[in-house]
Amino acid sequence: MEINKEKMEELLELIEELVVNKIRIEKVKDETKGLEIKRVLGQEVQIVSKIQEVVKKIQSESMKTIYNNLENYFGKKFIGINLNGEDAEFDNYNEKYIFNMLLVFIQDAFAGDKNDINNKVKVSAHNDSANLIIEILSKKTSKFEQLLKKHENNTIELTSLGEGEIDDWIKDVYIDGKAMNGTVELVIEDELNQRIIITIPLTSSIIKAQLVEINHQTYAIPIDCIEKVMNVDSAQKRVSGNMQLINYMKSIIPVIPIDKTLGFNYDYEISNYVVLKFKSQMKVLPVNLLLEQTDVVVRPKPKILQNVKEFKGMAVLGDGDVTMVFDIAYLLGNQS
Amino acid sequence: MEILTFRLAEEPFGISIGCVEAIEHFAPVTYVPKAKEHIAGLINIRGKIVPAIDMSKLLKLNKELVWSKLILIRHNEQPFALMVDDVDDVININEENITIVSTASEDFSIINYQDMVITYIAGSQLNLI
Repeated sequence: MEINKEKMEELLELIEELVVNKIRIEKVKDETKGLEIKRVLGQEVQIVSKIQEVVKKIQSESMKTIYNNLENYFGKKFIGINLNGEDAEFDNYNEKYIFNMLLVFIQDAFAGDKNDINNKVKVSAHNDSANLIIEILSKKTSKFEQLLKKHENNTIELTSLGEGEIDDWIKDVYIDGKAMNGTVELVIEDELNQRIIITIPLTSSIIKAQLVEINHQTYAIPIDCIEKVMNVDSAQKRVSGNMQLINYMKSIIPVIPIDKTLGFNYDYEISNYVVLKFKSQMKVLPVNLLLEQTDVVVRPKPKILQNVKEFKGMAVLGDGDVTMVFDIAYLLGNQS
Repeated sequence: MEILTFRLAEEPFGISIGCVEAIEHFAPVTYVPKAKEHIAGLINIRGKIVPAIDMSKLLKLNKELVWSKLILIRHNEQPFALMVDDVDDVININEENITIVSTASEDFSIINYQDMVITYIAGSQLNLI
């Protein structure tokens, strides 16, 4: 089914407004004493939740579809591609773009010889709370090196390439003269190998979040990135040099140093440790209060906060307050 | 040209009305760790999240202010809420009334209006945001 991108974006914006209102309605429902009002508000909350689910199903597609198409294209004998992350999702109107882009990069990685079984290409996909991220690991190609020379900061903004000035190598990702939003990052893996990281933003920014209090302020953690929440008294703590560690499931996990990470001293009492997980990495976030779980609509950061990498975006809560949403991938990748 | 005048620590300041979108009562600010010092945080203005600018720190006044109003502006296509003590008036001036005063470290613009000397917040100062 062909989805009209503009109409879908319009619908998603309305759904996001509904979700923000739903959070407020839940709060009002909890505080009101009238049984009839409680019942009606409860129904409203349920209806909005169902609309959310239905629209998500209409809007989303999984990488499995694209992987199947790749397999069909290259034929069953082709065993040089290792595909992972078939459950990762994207907006389905981007399907053609993503398929074309993968095709271009994989074909180049094989330099036209799709039957070279000694050459392996690894493709993996995953979602963070706002993007689909696809990584293609392969042997270095001459076209990759040409692109590296052309794009000094190693990152290509897909929409910044206008029609006519489109790089020959990736012109196939344009459909009807339009590119999808997103970036292609070119990484030299080692002397022999290259890694291409494609990041495509998801239109819907509604996520389930755990709210926590740190230093007297509320922050949101995407639920998908929480492995476990443990009481501070029940955690098995260790210290190594200046580093605090937690023993969890026979693994030693570092505790994120909040003072260094967020730039303030924490003079509060820690009540819980939140074990964060992203891909295979885990770290522990100490919090002084564990609050409720709720849907939040993640808004992108304004330009002047783009350098604050610890947060993916921000959201309005039911009481009208603004909260910052942690970027777990960044927190786990950049703290020692 | 039309200038919106406002106060910071009892001193009068002015900004071109062209970039002003609205004036709001002060609202709770969410602190953003690791943001620049003059960014006080984020404010929810009728569902829109806007960065709140501590004008005392932006203009290096080093004075304690009593925030009571927010001036919502749009600069370089980005919305900002300027935190100020109070908003006074909209005045009409000729551009000749604006004088550039140079000090050793920076230039700033002054408006001579009736018996007042108003510090004019020029676009170059807003670029510092």
